[in-house]
Amino acid sequence: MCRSGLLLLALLAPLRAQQHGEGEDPFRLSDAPIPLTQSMPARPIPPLEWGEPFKGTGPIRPGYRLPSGAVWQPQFILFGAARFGLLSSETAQGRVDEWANRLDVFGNLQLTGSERIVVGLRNLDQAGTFSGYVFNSEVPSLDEGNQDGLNADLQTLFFEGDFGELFPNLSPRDFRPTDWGFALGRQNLFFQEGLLVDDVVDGIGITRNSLQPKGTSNLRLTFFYGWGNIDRPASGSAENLLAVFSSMDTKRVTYDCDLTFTQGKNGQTDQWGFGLSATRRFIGWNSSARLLLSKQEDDSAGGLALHEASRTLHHSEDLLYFNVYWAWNTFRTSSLGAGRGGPLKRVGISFAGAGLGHYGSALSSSAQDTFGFAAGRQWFLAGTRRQFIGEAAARFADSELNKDAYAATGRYQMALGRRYILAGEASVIYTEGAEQMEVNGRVEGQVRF
Amino acid sequence: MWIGKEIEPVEASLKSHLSAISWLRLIFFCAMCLTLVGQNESETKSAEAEHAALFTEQRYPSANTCATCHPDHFREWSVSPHAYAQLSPVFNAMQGTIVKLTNGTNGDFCIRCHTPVGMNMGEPVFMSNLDRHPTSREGVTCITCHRVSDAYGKLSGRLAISQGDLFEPVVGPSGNQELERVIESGEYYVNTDPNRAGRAIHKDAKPFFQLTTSGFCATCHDVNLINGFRLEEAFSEFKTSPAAKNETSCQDCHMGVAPGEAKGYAQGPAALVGGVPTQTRKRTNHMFIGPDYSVIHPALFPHNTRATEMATLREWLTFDDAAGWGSESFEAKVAPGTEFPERWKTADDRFEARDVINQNKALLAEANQARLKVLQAGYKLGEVQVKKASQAGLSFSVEVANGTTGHGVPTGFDAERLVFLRVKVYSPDDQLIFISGDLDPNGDVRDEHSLYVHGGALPQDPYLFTLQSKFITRMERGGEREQILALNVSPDPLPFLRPSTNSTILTGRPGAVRKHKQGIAPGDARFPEYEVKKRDMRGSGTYRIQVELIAGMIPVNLISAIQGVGFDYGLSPRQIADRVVAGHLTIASREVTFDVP
Repeated sequence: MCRSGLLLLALLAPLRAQQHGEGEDPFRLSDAPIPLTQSMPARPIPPLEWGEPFKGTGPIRPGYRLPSGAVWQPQFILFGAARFGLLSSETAQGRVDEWANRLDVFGNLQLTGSERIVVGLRNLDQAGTFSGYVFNSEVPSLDEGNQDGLNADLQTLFFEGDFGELFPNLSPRDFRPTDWGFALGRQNLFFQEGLLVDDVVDGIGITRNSLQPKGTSNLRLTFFYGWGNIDRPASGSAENLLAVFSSMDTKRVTYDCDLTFTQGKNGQTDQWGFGLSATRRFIGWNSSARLLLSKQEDDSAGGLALHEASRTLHHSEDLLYFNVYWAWNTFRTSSLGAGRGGPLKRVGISFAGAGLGHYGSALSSSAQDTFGFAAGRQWFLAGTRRQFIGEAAARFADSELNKDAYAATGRYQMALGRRYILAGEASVIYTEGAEQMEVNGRVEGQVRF
Repeated sequence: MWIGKEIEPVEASLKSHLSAISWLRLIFFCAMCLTLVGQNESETKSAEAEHAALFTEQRYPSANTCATCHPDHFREWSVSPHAYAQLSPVFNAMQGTIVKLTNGTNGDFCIRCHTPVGMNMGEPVFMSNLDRHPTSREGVTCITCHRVSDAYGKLSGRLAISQGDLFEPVVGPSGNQELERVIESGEYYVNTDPNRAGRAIHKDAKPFFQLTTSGFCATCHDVNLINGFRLEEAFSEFKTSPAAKNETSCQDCHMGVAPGEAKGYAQGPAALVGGVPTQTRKRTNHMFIGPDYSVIHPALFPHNTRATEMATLREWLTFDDAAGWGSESFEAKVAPGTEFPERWKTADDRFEARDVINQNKALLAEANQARLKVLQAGYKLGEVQVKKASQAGLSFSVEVANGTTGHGVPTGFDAERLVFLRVKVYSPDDQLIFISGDLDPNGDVRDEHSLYVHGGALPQDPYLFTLQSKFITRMERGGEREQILALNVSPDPLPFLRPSTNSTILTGRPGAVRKHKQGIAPGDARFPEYEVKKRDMRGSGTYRIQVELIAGMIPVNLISAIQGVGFDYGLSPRQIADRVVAGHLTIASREVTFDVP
């Protein structure tokens, strides 16, 4: 606790005063004309584009008119990101030092403004194995040496569209509310910031958006039925997922309210999930309060309450944050894909892994009889081209099964050119009763295309 | 040990060695990626060269050409937000900022709507309007709608515009009948053959009834960003509105006789061919008035064919309107030897220029009146309800209602539309004891984006009632915060826009950014509440509450956020801010007096 407290004090250190001349008003907009910049970045061309140049200039072709009345102007691009990292971390089974790679490649076939087909692969990792090399492994099931995660498995393949746009002849004068959105296929679902659902699921979703019932500014309602690929690492695999996701803007607050039901597979238990969040700002403070509940058929229920508070500091874009959580019994995410962290990942960067190699979170992100906090500051440097996050975090055991643990984590990221990022992260971890502190660290390069 | 709990167990079948073929595949893939991602489009397109070539092509006729036979349509359009779309220095800087911050990945997304002709011509996405092709500067010009022949739906502005000179067919709501009569009657001396002399006219007017539908407006007024972010939802809101249920279209309210209200259409000729009117028919208003207004030199906007013939834009920028050049009072006092720019050396030229400017100012004033009407149709200020009035304090509420049935208010680019209440309370001795909705020295309301509030020099206005939607970004940690621009640099420092890899139809937002809409739904009202504390009360007597509902085009803080790329026409941030504030309109006001015992 003491260590975390000292770090917290460092984060709260007074800000450097803004330098300006005596009598000058530093906030007044300038009277001096500002000439147009001559250094505007050019459009980065995707590795593959077919049809019109993606967001490029030039005439646009008229496209093809379908019998439904829709006009399609097909255009395809290939895009994604590659990550390469040297990582050293203490996992639950022991230390791993490694070089790991990840490649996320997507194809987007845009048919109209609202209809498209998305296909995605992760060619260099599969089932937790990232192509690369393990230099040192204390994990019994992980051999040192080359790692091969090469694959061509489809991670994403879905079509999304809008009935009203697909069949405009159903309402030629546009007076009928035909604009029901839908998405069909293998798709990534991410609700309640990934704490309720964070998975790639085979299914179909139907949605109504831009609804404006009285008392609201906007309402979105989404219904989803998933039939495959539903992962529940904490409670066994599931056969079906039924969900209602909603989001409502009111004058001051945005509410997200979601309900899920996953039907267990091969005798596994069914599970209900519920999430409610309220996000607002008041007098300079940002507040996101979140309540998540899970209940299984066998009556084991758990919950997680999370509050994220932050403030943008005067004279800068820097953000100071303080997040607290409390989990009782065991809260289980309704559908959680591999390598996506546990329910506490939003608490702080100390609770989240890297999504690369075996580099896990400094503090466990499982939500089982625990409470804790993360306090940190995000510095934006060189405009916004560089950033540093310093964070102190603690996880306290609420039962004898667990132990208290503390971590301090720093993460630095910088943009290089128009496509590259260099990132480094280090954590120092102390677990109650341990003889010494542990250190995790990684250095990573990213390429966007 | 509680470290790394979320890591998936490593599969027992881990391979300890990569085959040579696998390594080759990996190396090839990485090499391909690194090679391909290195490509960038040339930044050095010569605008001048492009222009020289394009001037001769006549692929996209100018509105000035259309003005010959459609002078009334031209006049309305010339002062419209459509005509201002590309000329706006705020737009130019804003889209330039977004292109810069997204490392070029935003491409022509924003500007494609604002100057479809310029983008069709392949002009650079960021440059001075002074150097753009004249038709490119016309923004949403005549052919943007009248040379589109398919219903593209929610396309975010990427319309296919048919190319061709004036003689090529145009599209219209009612087809060819009247045009055929004009061509065949011999009365109008028109000519459809580019190789013959005579009054030029297009040879065909193809019927395109979608021009009269709300779906046509949706091609630009329902905007989904590259990453699926729902930036503007005017059409989507309309689809579920009472107006749609009653079969009232966008055009019924925004092209009729009363701005913002469905009160029918005017009747009149579609054209004056050689001064002879064509047959009377439904005559739509092309002013499309909205919340925007011009902050640039009055000779540059509204578009004016006389101004175009008289001088270049650069020359016009040297004409000192504020000093009164060309006015009788100014010219009478000009001392011998006074220096003027070459183009405005003679008093005759200055008088003529003044005449053009006066004509434009009259049109701007007309548009301003129409703007007030459309805003008054959209926003209704109700009564002030005093709930408590004693020496222990005051509390009262004010009703603000949506006057439309077609969409929320504000709509469209609602994240940059400033509509707010200014509330003042005066004590019996006429001292101001409470204020909300006042402006900081830059002209901003005191929200968290005011430079003075952000810098800690002024307190935030706790009672500020504004209907402006907010861009919200999810921070790496610490929840979400408001930002002036919808760009998130918190998860990583390299915003790089690509299509979302999730379904954004289902969520309406990409992962890390969204919009918090704060507007009023159709048929709904808000009742913001205010309190005057005991310490501010000034004893018993008659107190006065003044309420104004005010609309501005944009918040001034946006000017600060986008100034890094510079402003066109040699304008300073201060000048733009002053003109933005000068354009604030009081939509409605209320005043109540009451006694405090």
